[in-house]
Amino acid sequence: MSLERNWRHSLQIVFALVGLTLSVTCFAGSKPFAVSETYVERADVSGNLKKMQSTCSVQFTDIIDARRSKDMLGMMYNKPVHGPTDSIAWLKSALGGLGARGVTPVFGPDSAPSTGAVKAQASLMLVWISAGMNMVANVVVHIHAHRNGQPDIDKDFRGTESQMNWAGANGEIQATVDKAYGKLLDQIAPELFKLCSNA
Amino acid sequence: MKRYFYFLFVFFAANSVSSASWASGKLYIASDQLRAMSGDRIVDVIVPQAEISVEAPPQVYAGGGILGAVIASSIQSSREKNGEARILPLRNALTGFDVDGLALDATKAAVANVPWLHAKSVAFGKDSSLVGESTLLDTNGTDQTMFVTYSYSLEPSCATLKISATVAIANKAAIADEKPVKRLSADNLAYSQTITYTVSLNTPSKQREENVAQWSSDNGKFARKALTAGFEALKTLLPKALSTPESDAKSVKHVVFDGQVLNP
Repeated sequence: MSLERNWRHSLQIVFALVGLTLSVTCFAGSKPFAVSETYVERADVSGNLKKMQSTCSVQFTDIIDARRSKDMLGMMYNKPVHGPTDSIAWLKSALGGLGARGVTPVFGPDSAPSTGAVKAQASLMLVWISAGMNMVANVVVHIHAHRNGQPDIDKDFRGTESQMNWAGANGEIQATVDKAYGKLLDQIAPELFKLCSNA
Repeated sequence: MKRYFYFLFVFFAANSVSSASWASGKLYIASDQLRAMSGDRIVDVIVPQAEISVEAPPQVYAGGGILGAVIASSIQSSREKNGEARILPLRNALTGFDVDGLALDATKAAVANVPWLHAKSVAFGKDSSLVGESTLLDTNGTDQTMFVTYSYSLEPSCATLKISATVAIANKAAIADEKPVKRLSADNLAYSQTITYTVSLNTPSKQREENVAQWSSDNGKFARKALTAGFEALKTLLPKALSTPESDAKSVKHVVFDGQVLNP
């Protein structure tokens, strides 16, 4: 079994090398890479997160992109990776993934404060993807959340995804960034849910 | 205990010799003709990274043929993953620390002290691709553009933090029978120089994780101090490199100061 696994892993490396060579040759002169503003759930949400009942509602009153360069997400094969033009819509789309994790996000200004509601602000601090033999994406979002008189959440959350760089294609880049967002949401959801649950 | 910073300061001279008329024969020396040129220049600061990186160790040679390539690639893939995991504490400690701002401020201060540059404005970006820079050459509206590309990283041992600034002056004018990106090749640049500034741990460990822990301790205090000091030093190092006269070519080839950081 171990020998078979080793051979399978070796073949994966070979295919990745071939794909990488072809993609660098073929894509050398083509357009920059681009990531869409629609977050797609790429992996099964863990069982524990799914078990949480969706009775937790969080009102995101502020969504901010705190990055200096909002258009760039990385450099790959001497080509830029461009982010969505509307980064706020992108972050909202990603935070929508909280719904699959037991937390229902509501987006809107704090015009009618309601007692007991969890209110939060989310700031996109960093999104960057790089590639060598592996494609690595890092996403950092700062969450400040509070519930009347209850302890705050005021911290950075990081999602990191690293996977084999098969062909350096746009679809792979999109999937890697989405998976990094997914891991970020896996960390945020339990803490928001805990804040919801505190009576 | 009082802590001391000694800084390792290195100039790396570009090796290529340009055949362009702008160059003095040494690309890392601003020729008299280049300095005498009237007209403004746009300065583009480029930082093609969002966080501190760690350099990969040298490639492993695992024998020839496809099997050797597979083995070497597998090792490289594993090393990259380990490097990413290893540097994570330092990245977390530096979240929110505005290195881009440091790079921009250092460049603005540096070019203000180089009168012959006639720096009209300083812009910021993260696109270091040849196509991106070629587009800037076309849209900047000046005959020449100066690109200052920064990188900051830990060396493979994680005992040394390195900040590099690569300065290049490129001409907007098209080159006959060549693609626009050829304007940025070494042969066609009017000037090119790389300045590297390093800060090393005084008592580094053989364990890279322990070195990262030193940089990361106390909310990344050492790393923040090293980065701030490095970019502060570049405010004077960059003008010095750009102002070295043709007659003084030998003096800038290689300057080294040993650097240490005493641990508490």
